[in-house]
Amino acid sequence: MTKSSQPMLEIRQVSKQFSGVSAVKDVNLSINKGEIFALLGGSGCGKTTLLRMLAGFETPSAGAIFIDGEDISEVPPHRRPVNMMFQSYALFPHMTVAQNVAFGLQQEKNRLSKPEIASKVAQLLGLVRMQDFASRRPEQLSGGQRQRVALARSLAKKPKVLLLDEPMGALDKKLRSQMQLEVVDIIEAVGVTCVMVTHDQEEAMTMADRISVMHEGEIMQVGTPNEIYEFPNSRHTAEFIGSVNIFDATVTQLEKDYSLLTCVDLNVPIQVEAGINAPIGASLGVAIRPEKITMSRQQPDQLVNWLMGVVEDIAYLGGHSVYYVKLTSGKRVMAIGTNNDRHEQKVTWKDTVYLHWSNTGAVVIYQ
Amino acid sequence: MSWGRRSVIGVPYVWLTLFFLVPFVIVFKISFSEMAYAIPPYTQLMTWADQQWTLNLNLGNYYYLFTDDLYIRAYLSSIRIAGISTIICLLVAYPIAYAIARAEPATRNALLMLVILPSWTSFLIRIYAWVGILKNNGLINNFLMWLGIIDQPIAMLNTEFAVYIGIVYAYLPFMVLPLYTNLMKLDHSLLEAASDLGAPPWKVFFTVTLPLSKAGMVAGSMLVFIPAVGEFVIPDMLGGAETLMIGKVLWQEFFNNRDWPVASAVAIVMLLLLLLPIILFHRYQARELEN
Repeated sequence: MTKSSQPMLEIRQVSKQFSGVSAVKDVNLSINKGEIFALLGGSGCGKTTLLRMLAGFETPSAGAIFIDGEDISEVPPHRRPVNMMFQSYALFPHMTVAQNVAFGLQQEKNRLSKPEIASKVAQLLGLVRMQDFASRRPEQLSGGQRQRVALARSLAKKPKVLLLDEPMGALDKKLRSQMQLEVVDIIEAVGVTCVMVTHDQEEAMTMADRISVMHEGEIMQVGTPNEIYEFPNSRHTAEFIGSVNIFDATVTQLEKDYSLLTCVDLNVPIQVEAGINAPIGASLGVAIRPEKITMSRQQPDQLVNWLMGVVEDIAYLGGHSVYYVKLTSGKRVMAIGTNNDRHEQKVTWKDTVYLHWSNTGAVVIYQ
Repeated sequence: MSWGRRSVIGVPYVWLTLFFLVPFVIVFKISFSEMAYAIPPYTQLMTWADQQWTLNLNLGNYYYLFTDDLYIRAYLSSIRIAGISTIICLLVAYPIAYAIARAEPATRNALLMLVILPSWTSFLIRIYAWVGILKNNGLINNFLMWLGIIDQPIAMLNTEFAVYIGIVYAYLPFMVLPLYTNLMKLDHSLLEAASDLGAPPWKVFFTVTLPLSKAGMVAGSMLVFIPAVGEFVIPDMLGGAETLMIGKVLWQEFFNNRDWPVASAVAIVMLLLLLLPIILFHRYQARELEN
């Protein structure tokens, strides 16, 4: 799906302090029309505060927010062309499903006629496949059904920006993965620009076109799920998204085709792709994702990119197993082995193994 | 059922039987007897004469209540005064409860304390204090005359106005507390959702806050209306001779006229009248629970 690069939402140097404590620090973001954008971070990273500033429930201490080129920083929530799906869904318990969805339409200045609203509500409920539940009350619905209603309600006014606050937070794991794809399908069918907040990296990667990783009120990295995962620009991002092994290393050789680094934990150098942005002697981090590592019982016949250790722990997860290998230096390295043969002679505890990876498997981290 | 459970459930039952059901049965019985110059001042329902029991059921007391329009007027004016007081209580208590529920946790407890604090003084003394405030040479009149706004005291004591002030003042906490409890439970994200969907603050209040606090309003109204109907002290002390309320009539029948049977009939009819809103309240609660 192609997306236009015209920015729908612009956040310029936005900061927010709560009684002297900074929750959001100098955030700059530009979100394109029709894009699904995720603010990802742990609790207290400022993602929810940022989202609430977009909705208008908080006002920025500094900076400005533009929607479709218009500064809305001072506009109260009920006049913003923005609608939010709340984490708790916040469905009105004293109204039916249809009344909930109609609520936003009834607030408009140039109100539609009753039959027009009714047909719009029916259309929205059809979109989220809830047309048979129009006269139910929210408490008579399951978690997934409530979420669909909440989504329909937040889409009813055709907002310029749709905000999702921890959209899957209230659902159990099985339902979550199903709803993630369904919600994305609906959002893309409507074509609305969407900003979502989540602490779940899997959710962000499944749903979003671009992700911004937040930490302590700041934006650490913005990129596509692939960029964020494969090319993390910081130790924090690398560790927050998925599992990673990080080695402290020193640059020793910079060649045209490759670069070499040494690491005290390893007996052989680490070779990575060329283009390290640091001089010889610089201290860097080298991140290797566990699935990039291959495990064998024999010493690999390559001169770089391998290590030897003893299997300390195995986490059998069905489809794959995670092996924790202890090096002589005491460092633990994580490797993933796919369980593609039921009778395979398994590596087991206390086995001495060799882990190796290609020179495209490791990525250099500067901070 | 174990002995422990039996006694836990049994104690309130015994209490209610002894101090509610038995007195009620006695009052109910007296309401069917006739007044007599005796001790106690009424005839017995059952008499033993000529080797047999005779039951003398006298419905005259009830009939009497409908022949003398004093009683009907007293019932109606009690219901009117209690009803209007309840509405005023609701209007005054709602903003108070709302403000307390929205206050910072530390201030919240202090504010709640201020609502409850007056109840630590005797009810009678508090109502008596209002006599001092409202009477012709009382606090308000003296102050207004000192300011020169009026040169004649305004008659406030011994009017219905004073009764409204007394009832609203005395029963306000009973309205504030259930409303406060209800508004505390209100999920703030619902208000944000309404605002997010385009409702200005006043509309958020009328479409979300108010309908969701209905249970608190109903509970508070019951707690004010039911005791206010039978209120005796306030109309007696503040209302003077011209305020007609059933509690006062009951007192007069019982102590001045020493007509226990008619007084009992008045009490029974009042109970029947109050049963109606109580039943409605229970129905409402049951329906709320179902939903």
